[in-house]
Amino acid sequence: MLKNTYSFYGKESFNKDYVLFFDSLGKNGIVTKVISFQYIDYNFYNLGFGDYNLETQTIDDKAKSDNGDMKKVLATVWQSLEDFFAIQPNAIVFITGSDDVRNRFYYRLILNYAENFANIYKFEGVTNFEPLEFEIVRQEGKYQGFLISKLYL
Amino acid sequence: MKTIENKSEQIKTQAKVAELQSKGQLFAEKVAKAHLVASQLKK
Repeated sequence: MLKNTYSFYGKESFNKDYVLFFDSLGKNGIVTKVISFQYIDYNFYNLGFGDYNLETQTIDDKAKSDNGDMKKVLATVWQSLEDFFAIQPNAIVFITGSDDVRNRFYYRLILNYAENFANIYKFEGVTNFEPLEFEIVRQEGKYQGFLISKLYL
Repeated sequence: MKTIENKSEQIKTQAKVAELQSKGQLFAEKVAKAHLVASQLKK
């Protein structure tokens, strides 16, 4: 369990999907974030992450809230992954950004945790979608998406 | 700024998000890529 993370609003599941929310509290006030683990096929899930607009009830996965709490948001997203793997230990979670900025966000997330959690999780970076090519995530890598799964030693 | 204040509102919002997901209206572009990756991993 990481210490400096935001609390989630419950952890509800719908069919095979999991949805959770948290509030980012920063220099621009409160920004509600949504994280979803959407079932794709077999043990494969897509991680979706974006800002939730309470007025329009829409999700913007390209929003730049710039709330000054990136480190805590990264830690919270990571915490959601750990919680998800506790429920679905055989899952493969796919993560890709909606643009280069978001991909860098996820790359940063993975680099932050890859070293400390390399004995628990496998972190792979997708270098090409079709045909699919991927490698173990490394520094200075250039990735279009990521695959995270739990190691069994 | 508002936040989701009560439990029933939270559940309602989560259900709405899950419904959007199930209709393929949420993170559609990413989900399409996820399907592309998943289908190739299965081979």
